Amino acid sequence: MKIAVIIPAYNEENAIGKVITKVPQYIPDIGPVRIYVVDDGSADKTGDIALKAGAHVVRHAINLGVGATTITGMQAALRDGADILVTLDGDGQHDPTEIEALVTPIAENDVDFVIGSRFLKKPNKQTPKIRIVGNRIMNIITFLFYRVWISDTQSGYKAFSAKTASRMHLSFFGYEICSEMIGEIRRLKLTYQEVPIKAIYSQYSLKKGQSALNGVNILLRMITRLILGK
Amino acid sequence: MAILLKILATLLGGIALAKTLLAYRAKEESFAVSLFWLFVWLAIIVVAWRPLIIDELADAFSGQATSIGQIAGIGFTVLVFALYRIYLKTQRLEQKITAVIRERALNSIKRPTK
Repeated sequence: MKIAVIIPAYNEENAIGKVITKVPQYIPDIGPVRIYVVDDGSADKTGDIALKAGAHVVRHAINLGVGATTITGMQAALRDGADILVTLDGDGQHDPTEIEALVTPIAENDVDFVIGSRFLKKPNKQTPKIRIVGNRIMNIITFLFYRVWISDTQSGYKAFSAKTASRMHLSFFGYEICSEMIGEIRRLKLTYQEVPIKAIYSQYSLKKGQSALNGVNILLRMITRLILGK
Repeated sequence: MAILLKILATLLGGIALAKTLLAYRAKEESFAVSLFWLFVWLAIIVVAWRPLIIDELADAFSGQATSIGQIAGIGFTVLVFALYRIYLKTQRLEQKITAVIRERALNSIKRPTK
């Protein structure tokens, strides 16, 4: 099975190289890994560094948002014939060595969708309290919208089969895509599993991550979309 | 309170008027469009200072007095409809731009040499 690791990246020249070199090239008993960095119109050398580090680089001419970037990466991987797709953040927050834990349920147990959750185990001490509270609020909002309870709806570390990727109708441009994917689990009646992951919080990743206020933005966009349609 | 609203309307109207004139001078808008917006913003400033003008105009044209509340209600409905149309248009444009950028990006993927 061919595994595609999709890394949306915007101005990540300080972290992207390290993230790519940590991604395993082969997952035992499953298959080879190919990395796709989707450079979302970065003003720095994100794309060049990613290419040198061994990734396939897809570059947006202008900044479109993390949601649009993820969709572009999924399409690139599907066109290249990937069997399993994994998304992970380009700021170093996720540990790429955990990819195996995410793809194994798909390869071995026919699970459609796997979510890496930072909150299945007790969050580490580095996790800012505002993030924990913000995430819980987003989990509740996502549940109210889509009736699926996930412990970490805003996690960027996910894996799904190619069949699932091609069936999902995703259209949000920003971080709302995380909740939209959960909505697709319900709409398409997908089988899913959460696996515990660790979050690596550094000053850099905390600066690059979502702000608490972004939750308000996500909610407003989801309500607008609900009322006015796609 | 009423005077504050009048001042606010004048300030906003003044800014919009200045922007309209600048856009016309920069040839970003046509004469007809600029004239339309000039009229709209001037009318908003006049109505803010002299709301009874609506009653007088309605009376002069139809022979019936219309309350400012009715006009405000109609105005609000028109505003919401305009917002909805703008939302749909920006959504469509955003989707088209995204599709073009995505297709270009997918057709020029850079592959690693090693």
